[in-house]
Amino acid sequence: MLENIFWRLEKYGSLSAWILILSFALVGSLLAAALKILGYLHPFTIISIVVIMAAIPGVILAVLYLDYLKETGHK
Amino acid sequence: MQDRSYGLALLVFGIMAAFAIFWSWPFEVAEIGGGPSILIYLILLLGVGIPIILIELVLGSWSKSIFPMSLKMINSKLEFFGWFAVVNAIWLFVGLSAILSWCAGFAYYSLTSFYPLTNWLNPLGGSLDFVNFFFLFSSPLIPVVGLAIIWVSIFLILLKTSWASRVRRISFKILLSALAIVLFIIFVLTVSLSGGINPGLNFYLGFSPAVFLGGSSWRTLFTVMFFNLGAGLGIISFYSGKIPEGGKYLTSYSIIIPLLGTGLIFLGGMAFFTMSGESGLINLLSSSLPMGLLGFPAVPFLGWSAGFAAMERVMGPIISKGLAFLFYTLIFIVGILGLSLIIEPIKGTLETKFSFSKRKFLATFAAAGFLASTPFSLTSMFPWGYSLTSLSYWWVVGFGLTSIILVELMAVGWIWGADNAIGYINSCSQLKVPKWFKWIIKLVAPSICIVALILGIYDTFNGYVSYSWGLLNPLLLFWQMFSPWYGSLNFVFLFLALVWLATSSVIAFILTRIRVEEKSGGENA
Repeated sequence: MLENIFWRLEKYGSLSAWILILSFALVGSLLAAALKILGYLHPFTIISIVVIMAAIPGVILAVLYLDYLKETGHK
Repeated sequence: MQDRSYGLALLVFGIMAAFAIFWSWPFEVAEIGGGPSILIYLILLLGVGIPIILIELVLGSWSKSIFPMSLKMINSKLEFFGWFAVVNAIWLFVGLSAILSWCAGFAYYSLTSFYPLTNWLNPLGGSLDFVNFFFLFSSPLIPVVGLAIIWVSIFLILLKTSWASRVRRISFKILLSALAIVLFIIFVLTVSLSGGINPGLNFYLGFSPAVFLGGSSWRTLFTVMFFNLGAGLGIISFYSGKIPEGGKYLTSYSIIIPLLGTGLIFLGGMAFFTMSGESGLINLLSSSLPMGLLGFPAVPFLGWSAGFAAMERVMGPIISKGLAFLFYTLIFIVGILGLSLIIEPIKGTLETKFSFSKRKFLATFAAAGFLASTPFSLTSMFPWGYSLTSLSYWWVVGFGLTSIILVELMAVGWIWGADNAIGYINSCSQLKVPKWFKWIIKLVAPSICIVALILGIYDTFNGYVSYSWGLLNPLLLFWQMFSPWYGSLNFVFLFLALVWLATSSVIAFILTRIRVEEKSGGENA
């Protein structure tokens, strides 16, 4: 499944690593929005959720993607 | 991509994550003050933690040898520090096995009687309930039985290395995934409860100026990170030489694996603090008096069980007791497997020195481990049992790990040469490291270690020794009630530092010397 996603992103080269990180920041924003419906969220809590989502799953996938690019010989 | 194995190094982060979730992370977050500190932690992880892990992976991959020998290959005088790291790791894991034994106690109580703890949350009776709590959960029997299970299991696992390593690797991944799922379920179930988001999640990830600006320990951020990453123990470098195609994925391992461990720890924090919002623990943490009465290291022991008790009130006993039992049991089993994994390089390192029979060596090691960790676990018999664990953590993690990491960085950055290290990484790793990385190895990371050590000395004399730090209050409470030595805690605390430093140094020195003698003996023969 990951390879399918990476294969689609391949045409943008290493720029897609940033696309992955920003996508997870977006997922973090959605998560924060969902939590905000449940109760009061401190603004810093929202920032933390967005940054954590971008910095952990986002960066992990970005690194896996960069490895994938190297392995497929993409410049 | 499918056949990539992150190998045994992943497991080291898994076990450190399990200990962090159960014990250290919740109280340290409560101490360092939520959101901003967590973001600074992330920046430090990306800027310093990951480079340190990369250096450890490089050392193992480059030398294909145990940690002391890796350092010796850089400079023969550095071997001592490698052995110091090994003995320091033994100190740490003796304490951690005691914490695991309490975890076994919690697993037992989760099915039987730990729910009387629901009463401890009365702020007025907090101090008394706190003492009762310790007596309740650490009756002499339960932790010692837990310790016996731990050390016998470690003995058996290490004795049957051939099949155990395969089973361990597979089961560890399943267990870690199960732990992540249990934590996620706890988070989802408790986040919708009345206190789950506010104050729970907001305490964890929001901004509390009073705690953040008044927090005693910025150094905690560094030491927490070193502990969570398992850096400075010489274990990661031992396993990095064994990772299949380790060189090829050197850079990506050093980023992905610490981030996976950190993700698991952060998830644990989210589950803990949403539960604690519901149980009322956050209200206690937010007010100054009970914080002192509780003492930070006790927070997770109280917090997890109180959280499950709060869940029981809302969701009934089956869900809460089931999740509690699963949580404690998973941490316990992951802990045992992880400890065996962590002790294996120590055992392997010592075995390369001495020609003991494996069975005798392991039996002696396990018996010594059991005996050494017993005083740490007997809180109700010896009121200072718990103190020993948290005080030795202060020295072993705060000073031991940081010093070893500093030596390691200086050795690689200045003696071996940062350019050589980067050259080695770029010659075998797919992802290249930029030239400016050498300044992180040579200057930035060592400076942070030095700052952490200086702040540690400052905190020691302004926090512990002056009795003003939160941790000491429950200890003093015990001391007042039980100890004829009340008033001599400073002495005990500093004496423990001397014992730790002296034993680590002397054993490390002997281990360094023995090798030289053996070698010269061999040459003579």
